[in-house]
Amino acid sequence: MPFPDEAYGAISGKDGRFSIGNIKPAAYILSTQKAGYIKAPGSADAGRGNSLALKPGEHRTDLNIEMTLKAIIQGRVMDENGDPVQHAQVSATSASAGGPQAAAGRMYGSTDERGQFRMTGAPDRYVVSAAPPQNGMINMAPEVRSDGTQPPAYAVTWYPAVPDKAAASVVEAVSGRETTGIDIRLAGQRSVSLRGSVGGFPPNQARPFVILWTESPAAQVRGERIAVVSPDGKFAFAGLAAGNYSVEARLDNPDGASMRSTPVPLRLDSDVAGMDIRLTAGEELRGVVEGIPGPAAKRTIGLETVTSRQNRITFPSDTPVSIEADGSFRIPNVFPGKSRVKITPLPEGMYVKTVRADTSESRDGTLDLSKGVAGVRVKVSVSSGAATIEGRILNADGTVSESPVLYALLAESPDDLNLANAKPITAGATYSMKNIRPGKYRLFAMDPLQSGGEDFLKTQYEKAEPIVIKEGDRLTRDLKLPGKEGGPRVP
Amino acid sequence: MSRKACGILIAGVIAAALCSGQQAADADKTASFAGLVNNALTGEPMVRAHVALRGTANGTQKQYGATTTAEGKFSITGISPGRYQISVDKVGFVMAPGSGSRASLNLQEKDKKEGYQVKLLPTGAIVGRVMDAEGEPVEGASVSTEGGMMAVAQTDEKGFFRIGGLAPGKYRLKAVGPGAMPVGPEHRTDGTEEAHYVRTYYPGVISAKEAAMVEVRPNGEASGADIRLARFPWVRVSGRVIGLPENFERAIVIARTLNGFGNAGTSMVKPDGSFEIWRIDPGKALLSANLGVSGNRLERTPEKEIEVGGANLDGIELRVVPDADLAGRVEFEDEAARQLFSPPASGPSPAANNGQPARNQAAGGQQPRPRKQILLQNVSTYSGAPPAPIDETGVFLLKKVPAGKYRVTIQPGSVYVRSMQLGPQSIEGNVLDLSNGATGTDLSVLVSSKVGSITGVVVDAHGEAAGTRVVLAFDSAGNPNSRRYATAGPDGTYQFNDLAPGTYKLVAVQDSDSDSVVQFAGLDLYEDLMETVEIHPGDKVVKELKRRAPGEP
Repeated sequence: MPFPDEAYGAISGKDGRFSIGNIKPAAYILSTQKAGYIKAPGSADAGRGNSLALKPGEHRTDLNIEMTLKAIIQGRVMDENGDPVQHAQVSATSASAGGPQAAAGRMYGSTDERGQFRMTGAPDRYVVSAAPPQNGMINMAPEVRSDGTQPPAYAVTWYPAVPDKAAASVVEAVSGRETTGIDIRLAGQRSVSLRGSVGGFPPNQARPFVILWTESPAAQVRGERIAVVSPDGKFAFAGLAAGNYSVEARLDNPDGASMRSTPVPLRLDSDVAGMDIRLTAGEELRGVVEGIPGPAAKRTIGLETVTSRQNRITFPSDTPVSIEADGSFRIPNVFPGKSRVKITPLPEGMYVKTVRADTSESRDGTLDLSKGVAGVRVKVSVSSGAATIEGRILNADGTVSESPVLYALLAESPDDLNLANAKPITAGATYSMKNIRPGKYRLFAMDPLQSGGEDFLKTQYEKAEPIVIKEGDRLTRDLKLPGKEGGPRVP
Repeated sequence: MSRKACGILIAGVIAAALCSGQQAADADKTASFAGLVNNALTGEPMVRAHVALRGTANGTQKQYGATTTAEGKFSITGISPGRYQISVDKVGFVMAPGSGSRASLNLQEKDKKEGYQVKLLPTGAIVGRVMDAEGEPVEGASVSTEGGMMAVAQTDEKGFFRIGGLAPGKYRLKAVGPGAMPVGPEHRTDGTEEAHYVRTYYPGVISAKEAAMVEVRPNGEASGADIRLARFPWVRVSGRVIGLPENFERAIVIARTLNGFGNAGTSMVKPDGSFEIWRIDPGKALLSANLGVSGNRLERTPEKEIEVGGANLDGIELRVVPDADLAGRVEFEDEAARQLFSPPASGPSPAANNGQPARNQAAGGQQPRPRKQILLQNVSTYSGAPPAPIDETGVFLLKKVPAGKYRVTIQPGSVYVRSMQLGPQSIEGNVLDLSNGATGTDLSVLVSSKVGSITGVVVDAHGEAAGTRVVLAFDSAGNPNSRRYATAGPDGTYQFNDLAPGTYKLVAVQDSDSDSVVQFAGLDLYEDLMETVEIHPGDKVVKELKRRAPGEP
């Protein structure tokens, strides 16, 4: 999200009226603040969520913003013994189906040393959940006990004490009122462990570490845990919730050479022991870029792992390298796997047409090194004939969007749905894409002030009509934003 | 079957069975640990407190735990011999000072440690309100403590906050208003003016040194800690990023507070390289530009120190200097230093491992000889280059060194950097200024074995203060990364070895100050107790340190 350049403001008078003059014509985000208040769900304001676009000479006098006193939810989180749980993460999610209530989103809070929490937000019907405190991503050695007790393992628990959302009791949060006594007793959870060994790393060097990615949405917090491998090559994760994970090992030497293993997806329903992970050294990948007119230098080539994961750890070896004047390149520390070849900047009208690795060739800009890197010679052919697409971004009713920030996304597969790689459109609702490789895509627009989240992108991707782009196409396509679902999000 | 073989054949089922059999045979060699946990105020036994031992045995991380009974008793058996840290936790309590807090436990084979006593002190809380200059409550302000324990709370819609679970002691309290877009003052045409509030210490001062302390007592609630946010002139920090690469996609200038977490302010860099930061807190900050260059790659300019006061700071230039390799060699001032680098008379030649590393060769293996390496630590920031190994002829190559000012150390210790030669430039001491980059220069590093040491006893009002953390720093601000820490032993003694000559600051900190607190919150809370020690080559200095006893001002 870009930073705004300037802000305009006003303080409303006793009659609630406000006035701002001398505004530079542009698109703005409109926000209203008063301690203890929240914008009323469905407040008409500018009519388009939080966005407001002003044309030269325009005078808006119809902005009626409704605010309402916040609703408050209070309670305690306790463990199975009734002892207070500190640093539990509490959240309230709207229990109303669709509707404008989701407008203000969720309420969040955390518990103090008495186990108490207090959250404020929009009046609505909510279900309230508490997640046990997170211990951070560094993995501790599993705690061994000999006194017959077990280290606590708690699941995300919904008010009053149920492990799944469907069975949760609904909490009514009323404007200006405190709903108290929302006490949650954390439900115990059978925890599972994963143990194994890492092999293939040279002795007397830096220690490898094992990364465990959480794939399970039930865990609420997406992320990773990291275990340092012990000198005898072993690693262990304990206290895990059952679910889907992905495991990989890495070794970073101070000398620069690094090692990795192939990530392994894994479903953990019970304890797993004896998992064997092999590390392999990265190899230098050599190749040449062909077809760039004039000197190829001052451009870089990089390999982007094909994944939609937004939170992957990046390593120095992921860094793009400069292309030599003769078009040749050497990328150090490349590991087996599939990646997309990215040349920056691409000359106008050109795209990566083919990527040849020894005898196999791809026409989708990807490089498949699943079978190994050593000795492979890569030839990247850049060709003219790239397509362009441009157009406007429209609201569901066909009017041009007034949002100050918009995204247009062109994706070949759901793996491309990563907002971090997309450039926001900040100056008006027109988009323009260049250097497009011919192929079959899906094209859609989104307004991050209205909607968001990975799931949203996936839904929109699936809803979008496939578009076939041919060589040299110069297309104009207006994109319609989805209709309001759940109304505006508070920025 | 030896332990080593167990390590090598880990994956096999048969091996696993054999190894577990081996563990059973080892059982009689394990140690045990038992004791009692009491409430330090009432003397009552503490039920359901969690006792943990964390440490390493045979190079492997281990963690043991137990829960106290209704009588406050705990017992852990089957502990692999090794060195462990004892920690006892219970929500709403902290380990009482001097009661085995941060104590470490060295367990030999068959050791049976019994009757270990731990006292837990009830925590306290700070309650107050945050208001603006007009006395209106501020909602969503962050209030945080500095001192014994770092904790944070948000104000509610009436401006109230409560920070609980605090270790008894004295705290400095600061409030920051709710987040705002990093833009200049709002343009208004209704006759009002937007006030600029900055980070404010209790009861309403901008400078940390003028802050009043809030005392938290066990089981107590320090109320009335009301903070009135301080207004500050609208000041702008602006300038230009010079030397932006052609393929830069986005750049942000970040002002980082010198001490502590967080950004003091940020600004997008415009395509022409200009930037403008608003809403920045007064005081010292480090300014640098972070550049996103094609893909996920990040580059940053060297950090520039600024001091934000009541006036605009314009015309600041941040220069993009490319990382560069720095080659060099280590020279020896004396024979003892040279000895530390000469290859061992016998033992495996390093060339023996040059072939394909065999699978699981890392398992077991002979003890590695510690590798010599050279390390550049930025004097004020966390950035730096990875350490580079030094070969037997003293040659090293530091790769991709970002521009900056560094302290040069040779690891492991027992030597210090006496002087350096960077191209034609002679440098006394170990600080290397590469603010303009390292390109095309060779570095020669002269090391000496005449390191110094500081030892002494930590005492407080109650006598010797075992388990106290002692911090050794170059100055009270500076880079927390370059500080060193020691823990006073059971007799209160502490020790720092392998010190380069120079002037050091030395202080014993409060028991409840965890390392992270000391790292991030700074040492200025301890300025009255700080000792300055001058070390000359080979000096062995003895220094008694005073610790503030719990509850003492």
